[in-house]
Amino acid sequence: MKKKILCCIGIVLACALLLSFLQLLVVPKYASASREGNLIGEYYAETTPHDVLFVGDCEVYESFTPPTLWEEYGITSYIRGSAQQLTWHSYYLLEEMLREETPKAVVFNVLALKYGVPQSEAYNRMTLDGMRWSTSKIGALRASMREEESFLSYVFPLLRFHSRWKELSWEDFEYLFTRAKISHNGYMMQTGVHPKTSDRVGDALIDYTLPQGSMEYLERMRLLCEEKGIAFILIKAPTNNYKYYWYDEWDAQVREYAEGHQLAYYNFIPLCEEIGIDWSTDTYDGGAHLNVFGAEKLTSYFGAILAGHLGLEGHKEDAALSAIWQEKLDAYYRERNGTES
Amino acid sequence: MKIIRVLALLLVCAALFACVGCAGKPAQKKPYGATINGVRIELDAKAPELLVQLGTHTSYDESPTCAYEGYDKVYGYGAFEIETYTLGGIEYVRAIHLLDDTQSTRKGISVGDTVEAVKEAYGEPSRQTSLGLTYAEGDTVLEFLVRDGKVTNINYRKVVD
Repeated sequence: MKKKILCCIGIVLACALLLSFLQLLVVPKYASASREGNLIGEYYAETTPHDVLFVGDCEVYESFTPPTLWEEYGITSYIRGSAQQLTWHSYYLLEEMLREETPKAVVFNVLALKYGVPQSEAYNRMTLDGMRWSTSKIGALRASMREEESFLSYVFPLLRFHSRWKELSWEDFEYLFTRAKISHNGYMMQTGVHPKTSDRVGDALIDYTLPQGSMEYLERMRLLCEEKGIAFILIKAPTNNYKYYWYDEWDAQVREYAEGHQLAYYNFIPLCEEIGIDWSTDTYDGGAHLNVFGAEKLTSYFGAILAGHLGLEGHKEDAALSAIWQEKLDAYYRERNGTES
Repeated sequence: MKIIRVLALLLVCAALFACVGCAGKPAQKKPYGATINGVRIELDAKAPELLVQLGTHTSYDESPTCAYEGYDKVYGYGAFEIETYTLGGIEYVRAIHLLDDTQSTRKGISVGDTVEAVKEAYGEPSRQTSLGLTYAEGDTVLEFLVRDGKVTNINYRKVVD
């Protein structure tokens, strides 16, 4: 009898191991395509706390470079951003991070406020699959899932991706247990240059009211910061192409919200000249996002605001922290200057 | 014998489990679309052949997507524009914009018509503001932008980016 029970347990364990292995094998690795899918998970490798946490969409992870913020101001920072990261994604990621650390400032890029409902499973996956399991992840899933998505498929991604066995490649085996590191404290570097040539503006809308759903999560982020005595700063990246257009009407609503709650709000669109952004050299995709040269200019400009107006102090006198950040800087410049082995 | 039963049970459970992950896709409603210069264009339709039938465009803009490969594109033809997105290397129609009164919707509404004419043709909208009317159909919408009670633009587009 005992032998049979042990045999059954063995079979169950073997099945569980096999299914776990298959799951690891078929989930997307985001290694050579859609690399942004690995951004969210990289945060867990951090060993030291941060003065500033950025949350938001591609306009944060392509616009600010934490190594520059350290190099020029001694300010430590991390960008918790992902492709089309929606406001509720940012809220739950912030909630998760604030359980582990208490930064002096949280910076949120406001473009995502335009989305009041979940947009696509693919973008949900790129943000949510990288999160560790916690009540924050469960909250994020509940807020994010579209009608055709199931909670169970996030718990067991094998259910969603089992058909990927037909398209498995060497990458799926190479990154079976690890992921390729793609960011510098959440900053995803782009060194190419593709000048902006179009001045097309966003299509006219029938309603310019920012959706209630996203504004509610903005308020929840503000309250989360207020509760912990953290400065909550709103920003709009300087990019403004027709597809990711920032309307004056939206700007007025965010400004009113910020003024109503005594929050700092920096819209960098009208400040491009002052920042020094040159759209013929500082973008890699025709003006939708900044490349590393533009991001360094914007970071330099914003660092002065953080250090000056908001009084954030640097930590360059801290030898242990300096050693950690020197390593980060070295890696940053290796990629920037194309000297990676 | 019992072991075989246990294994069979496990297999049935695994199959049911897999079905949970595959099921639940809602039935798609027929998307909106327009007929332009005799060419029927539906949202989410493959674009290359349609673009050939429409002839040479007079303006062009493009924008990258946040993470996926390929660009979103806008082909301008003066009186109308076709927006596309790329998936798996193939362009699909994301939006159709009618910009003047030379083109009309299937129910005969053109730029310059009144709000009343729109409602007479399409009924009560899913949404109406001082700037326009929206009619929803599945994941697509038909929008009539309005100024001074008259239609200024007609847009067929997908709801999500």
